[in-house]
Amino acid sequence: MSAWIADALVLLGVVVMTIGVYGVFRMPDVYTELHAASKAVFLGVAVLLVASSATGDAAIMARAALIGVFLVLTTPVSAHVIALAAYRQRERMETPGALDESGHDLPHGRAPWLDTDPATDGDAGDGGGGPDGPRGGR
Amino acid sequence: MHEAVFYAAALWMTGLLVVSVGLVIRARSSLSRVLALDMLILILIALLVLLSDANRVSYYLDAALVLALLSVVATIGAVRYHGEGKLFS
Repeated sequence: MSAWIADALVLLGVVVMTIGVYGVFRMPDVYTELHAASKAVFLGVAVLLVASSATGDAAIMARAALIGVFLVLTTPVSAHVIALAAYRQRERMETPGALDESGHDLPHGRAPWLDTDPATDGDAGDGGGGPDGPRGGR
Repeated sequence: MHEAVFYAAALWMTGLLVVSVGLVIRARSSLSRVLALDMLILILIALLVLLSDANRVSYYLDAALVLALLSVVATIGAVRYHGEGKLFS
């Protein structure tokens, strides 16, 4: 019985990962590719790791749980690092009708929390962005 | 019979691996390329998990564990070198 559940989970994981790869193929810029690459593909791997617990082997199950824990810890970190680098280097948003709420597109000046030197980034506290910009209209 | 499902899924995952290599090649910017490489390592982990399930052998999962730990280090290193020009501040 559990073998059939494992088959269904494997099928689900493969479908989700295929959708993730197609999303990276389809999305126009880095910011939207991050959704597909870091959420969909990771969830597919997680489903496959759950499916591997149907083998009943203790060694496989322990290693699968360890891989799952590491992926939960490391995938958001790498996605956040890529998004932060794209934001700092002012990569354009290619999505049609994209609204950049960070302040890159403003005609007068840039967002004030972007002017910190990356070399002295550790102590130049941005204070959570600050409500002084024209953002925050929700 | 159930092993056939794992093998078929591993075969499909190999196709996804080839597709993501193509995505790495045709990426528009450097950060997009780093992102595609990160996704390629995730697909490789999934492939190793499927092979380990099909063969009922846990040795492939050690390699998957090492890949999961190395991918985040490689991604952070590549992004820092691309953005700031140096690895260690």
